[in-house]
Amino acid sequence: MLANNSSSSSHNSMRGLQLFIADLRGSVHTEDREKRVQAELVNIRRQFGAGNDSERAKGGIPSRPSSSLSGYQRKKYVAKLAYILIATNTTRTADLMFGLDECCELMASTVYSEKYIAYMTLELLYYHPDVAQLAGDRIIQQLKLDLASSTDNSVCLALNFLAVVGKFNSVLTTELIHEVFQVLRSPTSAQILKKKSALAFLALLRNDSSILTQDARRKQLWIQRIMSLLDDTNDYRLMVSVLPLIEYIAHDVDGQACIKLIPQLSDILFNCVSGKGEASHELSSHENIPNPWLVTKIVSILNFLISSPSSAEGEITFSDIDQGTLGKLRSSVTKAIEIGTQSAVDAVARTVKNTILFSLINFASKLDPSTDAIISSVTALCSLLTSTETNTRYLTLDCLIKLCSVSGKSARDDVRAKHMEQLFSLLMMERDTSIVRKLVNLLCTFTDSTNVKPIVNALLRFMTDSRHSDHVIRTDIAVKIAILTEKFATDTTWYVVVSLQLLSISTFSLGSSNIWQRICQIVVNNKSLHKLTCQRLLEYLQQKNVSDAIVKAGAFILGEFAELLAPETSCGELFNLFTDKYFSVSNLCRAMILTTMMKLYNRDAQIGSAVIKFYQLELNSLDVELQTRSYEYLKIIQLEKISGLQLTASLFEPMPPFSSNKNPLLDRLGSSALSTSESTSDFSAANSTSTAPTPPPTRKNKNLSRNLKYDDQQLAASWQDGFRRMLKHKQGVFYVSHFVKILYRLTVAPAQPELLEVALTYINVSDQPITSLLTEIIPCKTGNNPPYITKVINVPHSSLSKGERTTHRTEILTRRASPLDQSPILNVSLKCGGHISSISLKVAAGISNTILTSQAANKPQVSLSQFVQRWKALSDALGKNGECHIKTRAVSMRSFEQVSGCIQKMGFDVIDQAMVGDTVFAAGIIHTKNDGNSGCLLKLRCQDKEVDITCKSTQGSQLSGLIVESVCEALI
Amino acid sequence: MVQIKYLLLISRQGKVRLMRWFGAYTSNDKTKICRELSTTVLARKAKMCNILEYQDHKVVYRRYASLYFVCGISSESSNELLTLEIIHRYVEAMDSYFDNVCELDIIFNFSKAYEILNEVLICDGSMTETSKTNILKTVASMDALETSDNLDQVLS
Repeated sequence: MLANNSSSSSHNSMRGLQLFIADLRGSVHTEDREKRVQAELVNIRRQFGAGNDSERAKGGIPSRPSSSLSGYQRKKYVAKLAYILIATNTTRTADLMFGLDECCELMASTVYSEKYIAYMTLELLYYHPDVAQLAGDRIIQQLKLDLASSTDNSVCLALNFLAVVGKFNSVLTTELIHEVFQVLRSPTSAQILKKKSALAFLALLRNDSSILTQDARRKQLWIQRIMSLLDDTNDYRLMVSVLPLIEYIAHDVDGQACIKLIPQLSDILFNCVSGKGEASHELSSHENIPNPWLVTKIVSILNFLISSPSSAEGEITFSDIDQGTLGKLRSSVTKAIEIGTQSAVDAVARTVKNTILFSLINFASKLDPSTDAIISSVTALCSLLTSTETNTRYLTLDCLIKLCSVSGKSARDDVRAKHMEQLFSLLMMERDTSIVRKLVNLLCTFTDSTNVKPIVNALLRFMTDSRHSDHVIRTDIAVKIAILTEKFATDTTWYVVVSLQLLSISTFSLGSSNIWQRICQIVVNNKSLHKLTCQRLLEYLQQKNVSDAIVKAGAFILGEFAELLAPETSCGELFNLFTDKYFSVSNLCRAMILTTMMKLYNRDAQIGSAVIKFYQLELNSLDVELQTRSYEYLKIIQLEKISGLQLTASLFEPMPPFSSNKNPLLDRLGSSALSTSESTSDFSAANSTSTAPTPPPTRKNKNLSRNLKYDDQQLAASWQDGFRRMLKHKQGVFYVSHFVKILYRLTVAPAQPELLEVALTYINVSDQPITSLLTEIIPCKTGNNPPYITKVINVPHSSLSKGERTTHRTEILTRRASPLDQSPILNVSLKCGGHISSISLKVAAGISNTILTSQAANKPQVSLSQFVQRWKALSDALGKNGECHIKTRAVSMRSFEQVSGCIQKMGFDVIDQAMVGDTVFAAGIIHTKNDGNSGCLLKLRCQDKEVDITCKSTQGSQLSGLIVESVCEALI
Repeated sequence: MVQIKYLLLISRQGKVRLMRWFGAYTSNDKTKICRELSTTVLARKAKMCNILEYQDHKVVYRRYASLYFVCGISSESSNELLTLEIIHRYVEAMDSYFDNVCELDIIFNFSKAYEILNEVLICDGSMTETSKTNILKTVASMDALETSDNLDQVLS
């Protein structure tokens, strides 16, 4: 492309700056450029200084340079400073500090372009700590003014500045986060301001999140405000900038608060992927392509919020998500696979599709995918391997590795069964080193004892045939082959053949000698390999041009086990073989051969004269190591000959087995992926450390925070009304406010009375639509044995137009009796008009809810005589232990009829009798999951001012106490 | 969490034309990264893939005419393709603005290049705006503002 000077000058009206840039470009030598920069710095300093000096002389307040420069000039010089900063790669930052005052002055300018240049320069400079020290206060003052400004452009500049440099200085956070939040929450802010303020807020928060974590109330309010920014389902533009903020909050501020977003996020994701609404990509209006930014962001948030199925108890996994949401997530994955495998002509569209496919497949393992789902993911990915774009191939392999190591066996099995040939042919064709590396990692991930042979053979073929000249990758592959063969080989002959083949391939030095050393160790430690290895090595050594590594291994192993070849090959022949090789190998290798000769001499003294001759020759060697060795060995032989000592025999005793179990090769692999399966090989006890890729991070320590959250809830003012109503009646009004009315209905299946279904209906009673209606049931958790388990069946719609209603169904499974004050808390947050409210209410899921009436259970009513009989039986069996007795005045219902009616509504069987006028007798059966069923008998004596309640139960006084508590609460 | 660590524009000659650091780096680190990346990236052949592993993170780059756009991204993010797409968005926006952008446009109008970058990408590499039309609209409105400012100056 050619420069078009006319067009460039039209954009940049500062001539001085243009000249300066052209000068710098024109100067060929570095010194010329340095000179020009220096000259310009002097010039600028003079221009700026002129005003400053006179000011200092007059006043004494150093800042506030006089306005002797016009705005235009000031802008020009500041812009020059910025250019110097860029052109010198920030090496001269310290020299530019003198311009800070002028920069601040320029920031306050009312002319937009001047203001912009000042902000831009400060964005570049601010990372330097001196800036905040010298001009920090002035900058903050100006930022405050600009944030409060009525012109959007000034606010925009200030927000940009904060978003870019916000993380460098925590003073910015404490000083300005409230102002930024004002812009973010204000309903009148333009969309662009909201977007920028969301990111500026994020930058400030990242710097210092204590502003939220230290104040629980502010945290709750602010987070709710921020979440409500996701409400606009028609325009997804704002979400792109709000999602990073929410991601940060979920990660680092309050993950708990974000859990209720899961249904809403899933909704958005589903809409995006299925191309509904405006969530699709702008570029391709002709076909609906999901917006990749939204998809990846949402997936990464969900990935964090939802733990993998195998994680510890108390974390949110797929089983805690209601079926509707889970279904949406799963169909999003299916849809993404569908989209990803469609062909697209446009390169951009292809990229987008693949991005979505990769991110959703990586997420799918969290959703307890079926085997079919995994197989279709694998198939989709493998079909992408044929793509002509290198990047796609690279990322496909990356994704496959993650899939194989995270979703485990079924994915690996499928690749093993169907796609090995494809991977092998890709290995031979691929030219890009990074891709080859990924591919080799992938192959290693699913190697096991059944398929180690084809994989190793393919890798060996790659080493011999491929034209890849990259030494690093070849070394890596060699190491991997060595490890795979050692770990998975079951056939000893094959192991030896392959290992020696590997050594013979490496015509160049493999960077390190680890491989042949490891192989020697294994051979020495395994007797069954000795002979075979010796024979093979002999064959190799008889060839011409063998690799150094083979000669080294040969020198060591043949030296050790020469006698195994005894009848066919004598020590003399071996000696001749090594003398042949001696002059074609490296010095290190020669030194080893010298030692081998000594070992051969030890076995067969007949070759003594030849050995001595050889050593004498090497005394003249230029290499000091070879010289020393020859000299020493010569001396040993001489000493032996003179004194007759058996010196060589004791010096060169057979090698004892190696004791180190750790495979030194594994260190070389670093963090690269290897199969997770731990299998001890036949040859050594070398265990590999598992280096599989770790699954993405998820939230931890949730058990602790969970109960904190329960305790933190501030219950709504009149929560008791609904709570008590729920104890008595099976349906009714749970809560009413200006905006919303909540109705409830409790249902219990006769077959499983301990399972209570709570259906809540939310009705919008205000004049305006309700948005971000988010709900959460917070159970009270006590250790590992919770009294009840809540499960959301479906969540309400997040938005309600006027008068509309939506239901929210939850199941509560009672495991054991628990006090009423441990009932679960329902937290509802909603936004209506400009109002944001958050309501916490206790759901009465007490023990009395599990009582079945005898009609429902199809049992005959209890008669008074039966009651008396049981009462006595319980008294005889348990005495006072099974009883709880309480006299209460604090009830409003005191008459016999009222009490009797109330008890009946609670589900007890009231005994139909006329003998005792002021006493209600009632019986019922309590159902729990863990403790089974237990009967209870109630006697309520209604006196003038008080009710005298006695309860007996088959499970002792604790249960009786809890029942009495429920009854009292209901009678109030 | 931090998505994009830095964005560099490097010319064929290995000179840095524009830089934006989204993380806190010391001057030495910056110089080192600039130097090492310009040699590594320039040495790569056209057919090679655009992702490489560097230090503790990944680097994604793409060449447009004589300029290399180089982004450092955190290793845990799986958004390599998306980063390329972001780069592409930025280039597209500049291309429309400058009407067939070239290296010289970016050199002489570096302030404009930064302005457009701010519209695309701020705060740890989070996208501000994904739509090219919207980006250009904002930039154009700022240009209009600048022109009217200049006009005011001339008149006064």
